Amino acid sequence: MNGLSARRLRVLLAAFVLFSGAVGYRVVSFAVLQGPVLAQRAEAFRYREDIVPAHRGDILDARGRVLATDIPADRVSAIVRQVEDPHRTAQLLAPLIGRSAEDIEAALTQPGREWVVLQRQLDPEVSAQIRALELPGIVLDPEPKRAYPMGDFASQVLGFVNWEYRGAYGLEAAYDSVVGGIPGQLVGERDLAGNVIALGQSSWSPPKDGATLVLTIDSAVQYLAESVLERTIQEQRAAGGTIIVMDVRTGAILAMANRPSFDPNRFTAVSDPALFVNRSVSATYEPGSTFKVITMALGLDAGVVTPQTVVDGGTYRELPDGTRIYNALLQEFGLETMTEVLIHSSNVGAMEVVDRLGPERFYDGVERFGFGQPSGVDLPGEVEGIVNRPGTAGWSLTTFYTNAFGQGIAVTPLQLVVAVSAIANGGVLMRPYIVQEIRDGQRIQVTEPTTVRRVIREETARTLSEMLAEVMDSYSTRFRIPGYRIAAKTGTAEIPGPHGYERGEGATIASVIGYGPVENPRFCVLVKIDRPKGSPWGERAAGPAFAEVFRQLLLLYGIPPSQPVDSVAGEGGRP
Amino acid sequence: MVTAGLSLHSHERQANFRNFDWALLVTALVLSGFGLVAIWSADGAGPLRLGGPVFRQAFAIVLGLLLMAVLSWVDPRYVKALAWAIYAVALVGLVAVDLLGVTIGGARRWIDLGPLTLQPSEPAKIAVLIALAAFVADRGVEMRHFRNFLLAGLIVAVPMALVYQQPDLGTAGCFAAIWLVVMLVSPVRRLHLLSVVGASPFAALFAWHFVLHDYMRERLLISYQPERDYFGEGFNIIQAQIAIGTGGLLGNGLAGSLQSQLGLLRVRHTDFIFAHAMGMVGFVGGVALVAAYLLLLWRISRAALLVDDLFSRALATGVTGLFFFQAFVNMGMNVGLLPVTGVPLPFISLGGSAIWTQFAALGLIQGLLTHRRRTAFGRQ
Repeated sequence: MNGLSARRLRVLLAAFVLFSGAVGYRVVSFAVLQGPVLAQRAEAFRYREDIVPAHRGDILDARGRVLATDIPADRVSAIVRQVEDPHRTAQLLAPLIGRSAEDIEAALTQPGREWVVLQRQLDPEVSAQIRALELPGIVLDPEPKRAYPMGDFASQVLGFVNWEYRGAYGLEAAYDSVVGGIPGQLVGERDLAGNVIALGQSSWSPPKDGATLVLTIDSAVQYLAESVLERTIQEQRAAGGTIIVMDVRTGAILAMANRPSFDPNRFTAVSDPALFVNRSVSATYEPGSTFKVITMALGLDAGVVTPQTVVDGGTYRELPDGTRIYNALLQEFGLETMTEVLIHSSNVGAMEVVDRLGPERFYDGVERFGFGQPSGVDLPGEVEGIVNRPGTAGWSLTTFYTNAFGQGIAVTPLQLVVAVSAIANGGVLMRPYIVQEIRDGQRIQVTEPTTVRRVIREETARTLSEMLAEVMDSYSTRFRIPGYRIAAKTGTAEIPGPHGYERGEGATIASVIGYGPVENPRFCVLVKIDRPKGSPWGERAAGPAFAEVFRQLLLLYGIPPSQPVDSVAGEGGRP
Repeated sequence: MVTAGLSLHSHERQANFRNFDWALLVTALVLSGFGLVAIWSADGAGPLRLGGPVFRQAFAIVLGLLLMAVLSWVDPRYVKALAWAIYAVALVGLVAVDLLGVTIGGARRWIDLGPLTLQPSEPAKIAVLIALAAFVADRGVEMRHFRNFLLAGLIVAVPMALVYQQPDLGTAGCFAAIWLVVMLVSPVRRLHLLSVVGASPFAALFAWHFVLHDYMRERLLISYQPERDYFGEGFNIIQAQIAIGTGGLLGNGLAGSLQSQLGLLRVRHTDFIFAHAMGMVGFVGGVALVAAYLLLLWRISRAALLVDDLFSRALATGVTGLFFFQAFVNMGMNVGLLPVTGVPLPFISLGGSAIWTQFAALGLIQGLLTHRRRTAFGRQ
């Protein structure tokens, strides 16, 4: 027995030695070989804010294309007293993290600081390079980075995420609490002096991930709008512009493009924060003659005019106080029907309409169309515009009559689109929206289209659509959309300055607003070009862009033409 | 085979304290003294409180030393005679935990006795070992029969199943370790032993696919890749590795590592006390600690070699195996070698039941030594 069991006992002893060797190896590995690395991680834990960022939800377009998403990145920081050679460290890091060596060295040598963040949101390749340098005291921590795969694309709609990883501007800001989730936190019991109580339980409350936003924005349409806008601004040597495309039946915004804009991936490179502002909702302009659509809608709906009502023009209208308000270019149109008033863009004709309406009915109608109040769109920073009613300080008779053709009134581009969409869909004002769905795990919240109010009678809307289709036909020498009947109106607005309206080159806002197909309107498109230098006129500066956007849009959604394509609209006589 | 069938009254033997292993006692005292310091440090090294963890541990050590002294006087043959009674009491204790136990941290392992809590699974380890050694010694060469081999397995399997469902995987593992080492020194057929050892990888594979739940599998994987769940299950493993790493060569002293100071390293009084201690005493201290355990194991296995009856040898080998398993599984999980299961670090982890059980085990070993025959020419 002794021999056998003693031999077997030695097997056991050999196992002891083997296991102690294994444990010893791990201890050597941790305490000696990896010691310095682990020591840095320990320090990093100490100085880290006790916050674990939540995964931020994606933002997708209506087709599921990613517009904004989280990608892994790193933050590089220094534990100051562990940095052995600040000068060399700064020299090595400078080319990698995009800060000057002097700057870094100053940060590393400032007195009284134990820990300093040197750069954030580094790409994985850069952090790998930094890691390879093995600089003592330099620590890398993972932190998420927001990426916008399409770059400068709907950027003012999307906004961006700031250094605190909170949304700034746009949807990122408006939906920050939805997309951002709730960061996790290290909860430690602490005594009155703020020390962690050793026996106390400390635990992580895990982060709650943010929800995914699905937009009504269709990136195909958005791309179309952005590229046409870009090209038009170049051709016209314009200061900027806006294109908005809306589904008139629902109020869903399909595209919202503004120029100038920025790349949200590189928001730090932007020196002028005005670029972050979504001018479609946050900036107002005097809409000019595009507003005659609204004036005419109110006149027709009140029954003070019909399409056949004839006014005797002249070059100006003289107000009771002697003020004379002229047609553009001092033109004289003679006798004109209401349809011709729109075709000529006759200021005198529009003034006749508001004169028959009277201020009360006119301004009530303007407000019913949503001007002078926020549209309720789910975008941040919306302004309400300015509508001066009789009795307010800004109002005079001149205001009243110039309002008829869209001067002396301030609207946002979106307000105009929403109002004209109401005419397109048969007279119902819809609340515009841009977030189609919020997907929070299993919970999906879908935005239903919301009706605000009926603005005009359906019959009025249909009549006006026919009139505007004729207006569109009259533009055939400048721009046209063969095969389809589209309702449209151009505008050339003057820009108010400190001393009256501006004069000279680049002193107008050229725009076209329209919708179609007239038989069953689907889309409303606004093209607005700021300060064009090629031509000051809406018809020339913005018209071709409008036609191109609309043509492509109809193709994209597969809407069949209602007329033989080879019949050139405008030549075959009008109904 | 000279010892089988000794009657209790035939040759009464006196304890001979010249054979008492003082080196074994000193090693255990050094370890438990270090344990007291480590617990004090893990507790923040503040003023000592009556009823605090350090006092509770010190009380358990004193109790353990008394038990050890008593057992050193006791003839092992009495122990063997009472083996089945001890075994029955242990089983009753384990069942009682199920019925009356209090649940702490999701596991029902303790019986509340007012000022003290008792963890019956700790003394059960020794009780089962005594029963197994007695069984093996009684059967002797008949252990070659497969039936006896199976019965020996059953003796361990019953308490093992009871602790497994508490759940306490670590203690279940201790029982398995006890069984394995006792079988190793018993006259069982090599074929039986090897087939069990050889089948275990397949059994493990089977368990992985058909027995373990997803979360159990994930936990096992996290033991080796704690980054899989950085802020969840893997967090403490990472903190333990950082604590060991920041100990460096000589450690941070009584304050311990930052991970302990900031409360990031959890269960640092008990399961993760090794990582905490490494943060205190560093690599050099850690090597000394491992060396102390090797010294302890050497002294106990020396006893196993000195005794010449099968009961004594099985008992001593079982104690060796138990301490070895506990020490290295605990250190192994602290350094990320083995999955995290609640196994105490012998003589160091905070825990009264474990401490006095461990001293009692040493008392049994001392009893074997003080009652052994003169072996200068007694051995064949």
